[in-house]
Amino acid sequence: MLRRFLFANFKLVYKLSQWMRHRFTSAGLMIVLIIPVAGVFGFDTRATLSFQIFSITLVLLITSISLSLFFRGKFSIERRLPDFGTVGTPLYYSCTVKNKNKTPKRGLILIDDLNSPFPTINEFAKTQDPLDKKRNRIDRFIGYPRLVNTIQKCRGGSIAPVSIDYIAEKSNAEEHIELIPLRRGYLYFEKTRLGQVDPLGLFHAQKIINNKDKLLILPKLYKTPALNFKGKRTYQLGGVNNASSTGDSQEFMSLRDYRPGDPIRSIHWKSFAKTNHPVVKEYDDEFFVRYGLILDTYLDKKPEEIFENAVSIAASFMTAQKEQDALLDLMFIGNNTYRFTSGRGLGGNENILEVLSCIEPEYQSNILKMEIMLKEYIHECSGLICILLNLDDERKKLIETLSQFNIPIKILIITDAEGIILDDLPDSIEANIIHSDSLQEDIDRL
Amino acid sequence: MTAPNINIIKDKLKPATPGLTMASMLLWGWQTEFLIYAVIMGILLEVPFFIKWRINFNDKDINQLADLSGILFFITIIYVFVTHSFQGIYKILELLPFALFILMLAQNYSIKNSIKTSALFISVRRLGESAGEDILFNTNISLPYVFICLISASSGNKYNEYFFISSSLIILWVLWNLRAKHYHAIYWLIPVICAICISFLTQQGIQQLQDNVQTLFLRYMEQYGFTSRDSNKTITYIGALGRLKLSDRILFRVKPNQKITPPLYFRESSYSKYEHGTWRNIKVEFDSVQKTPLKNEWRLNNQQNDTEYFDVAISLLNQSSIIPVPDNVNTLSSKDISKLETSVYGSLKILAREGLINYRLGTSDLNIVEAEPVFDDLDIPLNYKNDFKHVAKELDLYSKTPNQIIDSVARYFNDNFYYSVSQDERYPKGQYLTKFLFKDKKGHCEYFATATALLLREAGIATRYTIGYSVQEYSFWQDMYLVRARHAHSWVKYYMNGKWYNLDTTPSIWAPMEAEDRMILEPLMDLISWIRYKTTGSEIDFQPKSNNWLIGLIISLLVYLTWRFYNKQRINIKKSTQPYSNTRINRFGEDSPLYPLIQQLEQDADKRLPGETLGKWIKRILPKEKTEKYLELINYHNRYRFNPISDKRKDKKLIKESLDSLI
Repeated sequence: MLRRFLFANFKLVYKLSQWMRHRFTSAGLMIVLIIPVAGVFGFDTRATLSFQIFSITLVLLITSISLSLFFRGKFSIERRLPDFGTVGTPLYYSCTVKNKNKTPKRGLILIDDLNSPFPTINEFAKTQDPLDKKRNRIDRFIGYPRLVNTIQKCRGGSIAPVSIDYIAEKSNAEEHIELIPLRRGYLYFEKTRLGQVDPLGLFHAQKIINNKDKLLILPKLYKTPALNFKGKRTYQLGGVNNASSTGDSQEFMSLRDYRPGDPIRSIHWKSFAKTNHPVVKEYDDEFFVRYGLILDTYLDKKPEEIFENAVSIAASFMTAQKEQDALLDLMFIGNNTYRFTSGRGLGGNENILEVLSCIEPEYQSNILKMEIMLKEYIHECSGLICILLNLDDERKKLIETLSQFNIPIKILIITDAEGIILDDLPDSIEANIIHSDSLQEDIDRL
Repeated sequence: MTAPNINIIKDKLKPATPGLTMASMLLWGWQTEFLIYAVIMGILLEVPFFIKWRINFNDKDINQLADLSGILFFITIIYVFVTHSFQGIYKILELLPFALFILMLAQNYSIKNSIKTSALFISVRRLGESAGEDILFNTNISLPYVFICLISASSGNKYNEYFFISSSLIILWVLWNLRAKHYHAIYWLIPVICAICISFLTQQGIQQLQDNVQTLFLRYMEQYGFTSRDSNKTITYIGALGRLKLSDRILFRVKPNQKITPPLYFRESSYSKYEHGTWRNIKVEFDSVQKTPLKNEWRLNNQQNDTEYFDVAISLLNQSSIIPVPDNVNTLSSKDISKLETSVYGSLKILAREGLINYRLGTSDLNIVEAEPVFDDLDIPLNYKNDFKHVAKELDLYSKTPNQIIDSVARYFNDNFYYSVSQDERYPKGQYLTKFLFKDKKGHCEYFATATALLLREAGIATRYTIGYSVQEYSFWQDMYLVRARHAHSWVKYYMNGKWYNLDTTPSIWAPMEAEDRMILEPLMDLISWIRYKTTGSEIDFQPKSNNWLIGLIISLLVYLTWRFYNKQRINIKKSTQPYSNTRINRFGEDSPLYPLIQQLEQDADKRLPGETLGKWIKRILPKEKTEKYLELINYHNRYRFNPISDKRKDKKLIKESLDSLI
């Protein structure tokens, strides 16, 4: 009941704080803080003269806000975004501001806004914030800092405001804006604010221009070693039938009669001449290496950081194998069973990374579904990498099942804690623990 | 460090320009009479603008200085609250620039010329570097300090107009440095002048508004505050129908300096003549009492020292009021009272400000001097003459001595009457007491006091009807007696052997009976009343209490904190001199099962030489025929320890197996 009441007020408080931070300068915020303090101490006008400071600061602030109403002008803004960015790595994009007025404009501030939906109470209840451990009990109980962090995460990035000192009349100014992506997936741009500080330097007048756009942020990538599966480096039947580009492989198999739709260049002219009806060359499928990469999505109550690390490692493997002449299947369970194949002209890394960018953790166990999926596809694979988020009984059973297929399997268990024992896993399985705080070092050891 | 969570406009708060801090400190010193300190502090804060010498404070140093400021401020708060109670809040406000001075000094003399927000907020400090840039950043606190000085200066509450002008000038000085530079100065100047003019009118309006609201509030509160009785007459509820219900509101508080035995009677006025439910006096004259020179004290009985005293807090609705006092009041002292008058009936009328006032009543063995009986003190209304004559005969009062009469009358009312706050039957006019005496034999204190007074008069004893309050409800958590409206009481004064004595014939059950009707919300109302009592009014201006214990406590606390601080530092130094004693670097393969064997061999045979490989060492210490298996084991160990692509679990297993076979 209390939590619901608090949550109901959070939206108002959050919107107010956002508005204040957007609209007031640092000096303005200082004045805003002084007004209630002076007001409280000046409540009894016979006891202190604080009410005089209250009246001076209040009137100055109202004057400042009133002056901001004189900010007028027509502007247009064009944003040019890159194709994608990476979590945690600053990226730059440009915005062209066009001053359509007949007078030049000075001292403008450009603020690009990302859409930040307010979570529902149920969504908020599910959220975890690693910083909560360091917060005091009151902050943890009330939960407002956690909410702010949740919204920050939903927003997905931080964009530094840009100052535009001068734009001549009827001309453009191109500004480069820095964006620090905080999460993977799509970031949605909503509107751009063009502001100007009032003469007193306390309040920003703002013009809001709707300017929707989206930008894909890829997971963080790590340097991964080549996939070395001991003793089982055999060619397996590949999946050219899955290839996205049309055409056949180059291994000649036989000749057969022409069928409508066969390319003209496949016609075997000599045989055509001999037989007097079109004969085409038929090619056989090639045999090549095909690896499976299984991403465990069942997070349960583990920190989300573990899942993010798992996605990053999966993405790193998917992108690292591009030089090799192999197919790589990414398999995971979300709302459905997903299997994406890359390599050898099939869906490019971009597509796989887009899939991985948008993948979400699951909170209901899906290990059984994963087992069913693997049983169906495992015979096509030369080797398997399993990225697991834990090593509980369900997963041990899964590993047990996989070990029976007699293909090399590499298990990577992502964890933030010590104490995972690998001794009771089957001998044929190569299992490794990847710690969240030493991710790259642990990957290097693989 | 994570990125900021919102797109805040990152214009950092600029530092104060040279002279600004000094100006605000001078205003503070001028207003609060700390001028000498203000000048010294101001100079110390301004010097860094003119010299290049700086100290390289790190974040930890600044945190510790901030903590020290916080502790000093906390101690100041405790001290001021103990010595000044809630009224000390303005004193704390005055002292605020002292509390932050250390931090300001540290900032101004540091190389960075700023402090991190983590120094100011423990919660941000706990988050450490993982806190976002929007809450963890470097800032210069000189401008907030300027405003703190201004607000502190306002608590001096002097030189009203000059304060407005000087504070306006300082605020404009601050704003001039913060103005948007892309505008011409005139665009700044015009609105600022307008704003200052409007704010001058606004502050006058605020003052006027508060006066009006306060007047309105006082009018509204009149029904809840203490209004003194009329010393010329009091209308009783004798004959009124229905249930007599007096309010639960607290009228005043009494704190005796020693334990008393309740009830204690605090009287207001006495009356001589009774007519138709109203007690009257002939026009009562009040004589002024001279104030003791150089003291806020009035002495009522010369040559008498106080045997005990009572501190009384009362909320007055009128400037001129008759206050409740015990009969044996000797002195009255208060800085809230400007004039004291007494009447021949022993009433004390004061002239004081409206609102909550405090006074101390000193008492002695002697009662306050009251006028000797007059004709009215023996008068019985004609309509009751026969009734009381009848009762007097019945009690055989005419043949008894005065002391026996008093005993008989007290016993008569005690044995034959009972207390009741309700009257259901309408009495014929002029027969209210007749019905009380002969029919109902029940009533509230006014019935008892009036009937007693008239009966004693019939027996030839001069009496006066007295009204006041019975002090009997002790509040443990407030540590004082609370006197509510329902504790209003009436009793009789009788004259014997040249003195006036009190006689209360009302059954003692009256107070608990009236308390039964208390409101459910009484505790809440009491709490509100207590908060109001604690937050308004002034302290009684008496001998200052000794706070030696508090000073001792503060010194002990400071010594303890210093010791803790020093001790902590010492431990840190100790730790830092042995950097690797407690840190363990985990290297992969350190858990190899071979190590215990190596230790064993080193003990049994010979130690490994520096730089000697395991293989060479084994070859050196063991006979050739034994080395083969050991070398195989070392091979597994090396693979486990150093080969990044080997299967670690298998290697470990092989080492164990080899070891088992060796053993």
